[in-house]
Amino acid sequence: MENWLPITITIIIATIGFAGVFSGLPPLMGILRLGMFWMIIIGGVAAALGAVNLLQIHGIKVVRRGSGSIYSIILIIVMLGTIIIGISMSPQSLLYRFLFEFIFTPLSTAIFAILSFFIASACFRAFRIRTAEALVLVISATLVMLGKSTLGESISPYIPKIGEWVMNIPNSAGSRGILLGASLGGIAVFLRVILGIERGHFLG
Amino acid sequence: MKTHHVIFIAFGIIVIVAMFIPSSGKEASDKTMAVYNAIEKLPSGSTILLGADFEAANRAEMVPQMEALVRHIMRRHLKIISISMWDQGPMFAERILRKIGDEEGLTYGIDYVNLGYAAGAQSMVRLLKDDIKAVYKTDFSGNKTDDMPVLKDIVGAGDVSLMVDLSDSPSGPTTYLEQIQSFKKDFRLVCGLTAASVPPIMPYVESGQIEGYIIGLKGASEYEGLIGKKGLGTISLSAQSVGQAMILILILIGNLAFLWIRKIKGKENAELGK
Amino acid sequence: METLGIWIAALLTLAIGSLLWRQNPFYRLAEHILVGFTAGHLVVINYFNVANFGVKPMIKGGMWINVVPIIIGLLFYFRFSKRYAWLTRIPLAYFFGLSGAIGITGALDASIRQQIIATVKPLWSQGLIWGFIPALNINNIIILFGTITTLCYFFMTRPHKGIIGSSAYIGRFFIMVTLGARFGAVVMSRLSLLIDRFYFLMHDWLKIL
Repeated sequence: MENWLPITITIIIATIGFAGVFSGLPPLMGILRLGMFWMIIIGGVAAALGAVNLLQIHGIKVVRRGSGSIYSIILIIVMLGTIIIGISMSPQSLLYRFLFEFIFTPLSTAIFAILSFFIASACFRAFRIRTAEALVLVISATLVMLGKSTLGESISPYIPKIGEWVMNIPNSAGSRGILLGASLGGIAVFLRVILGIERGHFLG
Repeated sequence: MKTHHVIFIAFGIIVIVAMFIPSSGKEASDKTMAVYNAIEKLPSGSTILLGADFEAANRAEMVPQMEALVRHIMRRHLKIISISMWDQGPMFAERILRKIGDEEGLTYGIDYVNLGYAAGAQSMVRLLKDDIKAVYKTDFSGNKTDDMPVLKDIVGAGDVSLMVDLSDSPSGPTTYLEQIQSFKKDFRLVCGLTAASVPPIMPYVESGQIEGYIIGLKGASEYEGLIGKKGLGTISLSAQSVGQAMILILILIGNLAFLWIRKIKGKENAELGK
Repeated sequence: METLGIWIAALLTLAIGSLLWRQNPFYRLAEHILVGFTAGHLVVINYFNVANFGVKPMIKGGMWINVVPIIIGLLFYFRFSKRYAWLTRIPLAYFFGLSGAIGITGALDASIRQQIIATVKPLWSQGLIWGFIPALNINNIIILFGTITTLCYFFMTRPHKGIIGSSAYIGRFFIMVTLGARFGAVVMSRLSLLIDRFYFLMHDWLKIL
């Protein structure tokens, strides 16, 4: 049952989905619509999975009093506190908005902002132009960056135009090839799954 | 102190100093003008669907864009219905819509509404195409949507005059194109994107499915210039340029050093070989 | 209140920035606060989502069928049980089946048909240069050529020899251009975030800008 039930569910649901869209028959469309409504509810119910997982991992650390357990205590307190404040006072409340604006947002932005420093360091220490492909990559990155900045304009009025052209034409061509390849590949894999040829991901 | 510490300190100081250099706004690019014109040419009273599909981490690029766009839309007395596929966007949408709505003398529920977040991504958008109120029975604040005047003339997302999607990921605009525009050919989409999201969606721009886009802080500064309001976008231009130049110089110096070391080692090996 | 908020935000920003020197207790504290809040916020927003969409219609509107998706969603939590962990495959199968059907039916037009139409554009304009040379549309030629060669690179069912091999080799260069453009764009993006944090510290906190 562990193996055949999930595959059967996938095949039935996918078949109803395709049939509903391509046939346009009201009963099938109705079932498909109901299925999509259920997706919204299932997604919402499953959202707490991350929180429960964190509770499990950090709860064990706290109980065992391992190194760094103080940070786990803080994480659990912050998480539960956020949930209690958010649910009891609503996300619109002054306190919740304060926490979101002055604690969560600065932390999120800062984590990504320090990546700039690591990019700068990596460019110096690890970015080696050993092949023609790497050279093309660097030239493309240079033109795109200079094309979007005032520095490029001050070097030459043609640089923004060339940067724009690189973004619009060769980058579009490459991205389109990747997009078509990924879309067609995804369709092929999905058809293999619903025809029962591909089962690996549902087996233990 | 290690090599990377030196690079960090030099990079930080140079960017900070560059922020004190005044910069004037840039002329808007074609793609930014396309977004501006798409909104400017809509008849008064039209409804715009605003997608707040970004996370707090990218607020630096998205919030200036959102403020400029919302200000333009509200000045033109166009109605706004804000939705989101992600959980953090609605918090920003609520603050910005209320703040600018109050400044422009508009009323929540009549001129604009923040419907908030609904889970399900693709499913949610596919359902939204046909019936917004079936997906959003209440708005972000918990008010019932049944009798809201701003939603009176709109049944599905495909009925709006234009969608403006502010997204920090290429999957945002792609989902709206695949789940709405595939079925409603007259569905129009323009985007506000982080710089990192632009290259992957260029095929959709080149094919005309996305009419225009605003790119990152630079795009926000261009749009601020078009609506006559200066913000962080304009102030940051010099620092952006200097930071990018520094990255390119570091790549150059790193490779020159690598070639130099390789040349010296080549000579040493040749001498040892003799 | 806002002054207090600015001070807290500034200290947390500096705590994250301290990682640039080395791993330290302030950074770890800030990191754990971020993770805790992120998880908590997701639960809060989805609580109201499920309550308004699933539970209220069930209790007040008599839509008792909504108990089915709630039960399916709860099956995810069996991943914490060794014996019944296989039950998580059921909602995954549901997601996979329906997402695939919805995704493919949407992508067929927007991401495949429209993209193919946009690739195959006229390769020359009407009229002749100097009376005899066709006016080639270089951009359309590059797009067609680039798209086909990039697709050839991902053609894994045939060995890359002969014409497919040559096309795949050229496709690699188009992919490098794409990756270069993405790298440049990511650098611009991260730089914007850094400038925003510096602006906050110097303008909102220290008031020196």
